Amino acid sequence: MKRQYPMILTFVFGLIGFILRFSPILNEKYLNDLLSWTMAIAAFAVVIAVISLVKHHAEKIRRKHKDMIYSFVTFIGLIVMALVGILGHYMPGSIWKSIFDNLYKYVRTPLDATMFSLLAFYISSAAYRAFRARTWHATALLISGFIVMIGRVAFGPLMIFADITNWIMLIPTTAVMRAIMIGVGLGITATSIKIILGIETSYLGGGEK
Amino acid sequence: MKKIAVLIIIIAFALMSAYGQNDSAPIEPKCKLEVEDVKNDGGTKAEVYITPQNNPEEVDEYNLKIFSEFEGQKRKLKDIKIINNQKRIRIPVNTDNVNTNVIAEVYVQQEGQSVKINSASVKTKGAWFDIKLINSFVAAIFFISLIMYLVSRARKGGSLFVRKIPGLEEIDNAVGRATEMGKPVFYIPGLSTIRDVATIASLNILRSVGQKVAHYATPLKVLNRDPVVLGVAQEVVHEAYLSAGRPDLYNEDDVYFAAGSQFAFASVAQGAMVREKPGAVFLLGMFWAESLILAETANSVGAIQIAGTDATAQIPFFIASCDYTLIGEELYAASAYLSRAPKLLGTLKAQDYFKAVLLAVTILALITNLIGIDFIIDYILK
Repeated sequence: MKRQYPMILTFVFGLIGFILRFSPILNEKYLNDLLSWTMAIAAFAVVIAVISLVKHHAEKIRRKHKDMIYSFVTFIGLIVMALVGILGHYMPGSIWKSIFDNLYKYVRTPLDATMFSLLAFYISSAAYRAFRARTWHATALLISGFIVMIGRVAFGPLMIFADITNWIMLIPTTAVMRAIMIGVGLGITATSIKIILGIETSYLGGGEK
Repeated sequence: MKKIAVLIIIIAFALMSAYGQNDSAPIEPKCKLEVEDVKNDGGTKAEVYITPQNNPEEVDEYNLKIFSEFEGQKRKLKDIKIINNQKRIRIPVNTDNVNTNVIAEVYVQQEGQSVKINSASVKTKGAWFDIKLINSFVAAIFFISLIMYLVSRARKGGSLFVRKIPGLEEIDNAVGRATEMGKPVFYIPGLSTIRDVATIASLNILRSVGQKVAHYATPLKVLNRDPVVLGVAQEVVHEAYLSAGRPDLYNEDDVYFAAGSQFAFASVAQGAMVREKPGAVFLLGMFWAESLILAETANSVGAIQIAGTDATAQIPFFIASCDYTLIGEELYAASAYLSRAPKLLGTLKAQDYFKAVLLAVTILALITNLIGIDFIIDYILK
């Protein structure tokens, strides 16, 4: 029964989702209710996430793990942001609000931007490996990559590369992307049907029954 | 004297003419007003069309007021000034409830007073079936029937060929390699929520990876970004260890919540990889800009990487930096491929057959279009 109840619920709600997709009047009436339920479940799940995070890092500190310094940083960040955020929310004109805003604006946002900027270096290293012309696939990639790079900044006599770039992006790239998208669309549909009909139960854990 | 007399007569005629004009019939402000229910909707939308029928010199602007009336409660939805350019104007209206009476009234200013000149109303009606989606509905029913048929055929023992997918063939080797090196296996089920089918597909693969990892007694770390996915991933790994006969090896703390923010998650995963140096890294599910950060970090620590996503923008990054990549639909085929369960293989074949049908229709549309018959391509593009 441990697996049957989730499967029955999945079938019922999957069927409801299918019907709502094709029936505008039912969609209008009940979709918002279903979305509200999803949000309510997600809100409860946040507690699970916080417990998991605290347990994971508390365990590291308890065992005096060599990297426990990062766990301390996590706890300080978690507690300070939560406290300042709550105080700032209930006292909008107070110093707590501006501390929260500053922490967000001058600590969190730059940290996010730092992580994002690492991409520039990683793109270079990944491109270096991908462009090593060891096979004909890699050679084709190298040539088309070179043309697209030149084409994107082309001027004067190099404008021919801009035209070739447009062709590469518009014809072969779009064709391949569409082929992948058709496959993905069918894959999503098939997986959804498998789950709704109870053919696929791996996500419930355990073996195939 | 004669000239003065002529001038007086002209002025007199001019005055009489002006007086005569003022005395003529007053201008009647007119407009055509139509209120229509929107077809194939949920029953909350209507459209109001107003067409001025006076010259701009006669009436320069109209005032359109739109009301909704539901269960005796009348509420003003819109109050718009319509400049008279003698063109038909469409105003979409949204109401809060199904079966609402939408009332439109047109007013003009006359002698300083607002006078109603026209009104119309309609009751919004919802459609039980969206006829515009008939194609999708027929295709869905056909696809479901095909799946049911092939699943039943597979259950009866019919042989179904599935081509080799290198990324999935290598899962055993990746786990084996990590075991030999005495290093953990890292698994990231994407950064999306459980509502994303790619996440569910990834969790299906996690079950197989969990069983293999339990079999070899290799540590498995699953990093999560979404709290609901965390709960499901914990249950999947627990059940996988149970089914492999090694529940003692399962540590709930190994399947943990890393961070909720995208780049904070990337930072946690990157740090964990650098510190713990995993032997194998699985990046399967939905990824965005962090895909390359994760893949390149895994590469830099010497881990064998198996990645898969249906995000077309991220596939090139994974191909460039990972050892094996599941492209698009291969991610969804993984569960069937790994378990070899006949009923799951049946759904894989259904996908292939449906793709063949789509291809045939596309080629047919192309050929008929080339010979001047357009109705098939027009119907597809409609």
